[in-house]
Amino acid sequence: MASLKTFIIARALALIPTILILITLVFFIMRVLPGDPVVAIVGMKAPPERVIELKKELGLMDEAGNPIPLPIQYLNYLSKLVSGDLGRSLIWGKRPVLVEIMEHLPATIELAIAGFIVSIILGLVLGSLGGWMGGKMSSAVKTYGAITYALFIPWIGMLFQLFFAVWLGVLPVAGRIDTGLEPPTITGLYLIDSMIAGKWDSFLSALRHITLPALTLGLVISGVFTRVTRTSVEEVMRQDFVVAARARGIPEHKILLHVLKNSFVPILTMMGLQLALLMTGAVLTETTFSWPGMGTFLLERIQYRDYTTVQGTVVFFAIIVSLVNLIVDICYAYIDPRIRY
Amino acid sequence: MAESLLKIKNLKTYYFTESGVVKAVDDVTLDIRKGELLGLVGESGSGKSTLGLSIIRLIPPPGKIVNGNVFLDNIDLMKLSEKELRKIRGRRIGMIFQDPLTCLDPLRKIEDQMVETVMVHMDVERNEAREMAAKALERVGISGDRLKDYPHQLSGGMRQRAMIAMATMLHPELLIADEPTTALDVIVQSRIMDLLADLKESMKMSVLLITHDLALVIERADRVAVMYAGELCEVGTSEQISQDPLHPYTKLLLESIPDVEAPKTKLKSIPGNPPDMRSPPSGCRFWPRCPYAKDLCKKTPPRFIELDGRIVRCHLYEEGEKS
Repeated sequence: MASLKTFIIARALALIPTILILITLVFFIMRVLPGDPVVAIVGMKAPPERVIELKKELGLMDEAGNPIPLPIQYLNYLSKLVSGDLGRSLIWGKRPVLVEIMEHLPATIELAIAGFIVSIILGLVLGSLGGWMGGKMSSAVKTYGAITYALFIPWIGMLFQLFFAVWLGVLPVAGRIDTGLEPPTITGLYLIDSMIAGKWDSFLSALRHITLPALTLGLVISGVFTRVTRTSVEEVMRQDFVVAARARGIPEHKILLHVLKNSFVPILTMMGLQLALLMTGAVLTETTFSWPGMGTFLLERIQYRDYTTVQGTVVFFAIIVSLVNLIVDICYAYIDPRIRY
Repeated sequence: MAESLLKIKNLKTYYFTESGVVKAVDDVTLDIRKGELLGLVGESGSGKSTLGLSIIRLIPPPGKIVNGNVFLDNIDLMKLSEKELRKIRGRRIGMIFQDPLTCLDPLRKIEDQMVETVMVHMDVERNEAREMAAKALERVGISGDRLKDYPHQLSGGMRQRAMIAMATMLHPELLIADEPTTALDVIVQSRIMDLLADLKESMKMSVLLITHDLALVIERADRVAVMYAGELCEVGTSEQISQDPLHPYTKLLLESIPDVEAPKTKLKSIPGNPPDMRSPPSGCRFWPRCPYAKDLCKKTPPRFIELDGRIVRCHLYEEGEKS
């Protein structure tokens, strides 16, 4: 039986080939896809000098103007990646893609975590309530899950805006923070940076701004979590060890703890999937609340056919998703001693 | 005759399913005496496990105990509140089940589960509880350092031992063992039965052994109760049941035990199937499969008759009672 430590090391090492395969796939898919990116950017009637210049920029031609063979392109691309170079944007003043990602990522992370917390609390509480009590409570929770999951984000977002911002006027309609209150950048997460800097007016402003988007996002995702939690708790409740624990006189609140821990593996799977998804930007929520995150950013660049940025971002997310998966796997092994492969 | 420890009186446990009411335990009256090993035998679906669970009121929905009393000393377990009953479960009445792997929380160490049980019932420090757990494990023949193991790290036989240790840790007066050896191979089975017999003697505990295995019960039990389709057929000592069975069902059950020393013969079985419990036969529930069935059996359910200190429920013996 491998120890938890060796499991973690082995699992982390297995990440390297995974990411390499992902990168390779992205690289070749971008080149196999129909349509010439160069033509897409400069247009059919562009002068040949401009086309050659762009091809050099994209790493398709060497300085002498000879086309670089595909395997060499691939190796060049890899060596750049290793040094953290995701390429440069084709449009926005040729800024490095990584810099642009880092400008938008903190907003996304902040919203993702806030929305995630809301959805986890709602999902776990309602889901375990439904699973534990069964009967009518279970049906009610089931209905809640179906309704929230089917909610259209812009619609519910606008309802919130109308109610809390326009009618009650207690919360701002959109944006991340009031202008002029931005805290000094440390992590890029306004809530954390303002706390570190001790700027409480900034903190309050950031908190007021994130409330509605986080609620909207959290509410919609909570449907998935209530569903998984309820079914998982119901399933574990049917297991023999619950009866056996009752037969030993263990009180119900302690049995609930046993049940919750045993129900957690499928919930964790869903958490990993949702978190990874959220990291790539909640496009609808960000658009509804003018939230300057990855979703809006990526959507914009796709519309402008900024190929290098899109490719760089995809690779970046591939790595993030793999990392989230790694963390989820480690959590599995931590919770369940039988998982050590 | 030894004193009674547990008295089950007119117990009825029904399952209210969507396709009808299943009378899994129907009007069962049974005594468990102090220090005895009482075997409760029946086919699958005869209600024997439901009876075991009914004693400590752990019937899962849609099941419900509709009527009856279960007296432990003079306390009626059916009238206790959940809270009062919890003090009895695990402390005065222990229970073990068929599949020890699924009956232990797979994510907690054996130690945690045992310590939790001790601390629920007794006002002791964690360390003391841990020592009690180690002692209980050693009593069933497992070294105390296995406390740190998770259930999946133990073998099947060891898991059942651990379950027994957990159930008997607080010296209960009654241990309900629901098919404790069915999931184990024959050799381990025999060792587990030896262990139960030892514990019964050393702790002066009563054991209710629920099983489908009549041969095992005759070999191990002091007394035997035979159940068919939710009702008791016959109760007697192991000797009486094995040498001179009264009820036709018991007779047929005995005949269906294969004899290893006899020349090769076809395995005998009881013709027919157990009844659909949503609509059991009228009269005696066994009549459709009974070779002695008379018209009376089809109409009137038989009463319990005491005959030479044993109990039987069959029309064949009602006349003998009158004379």
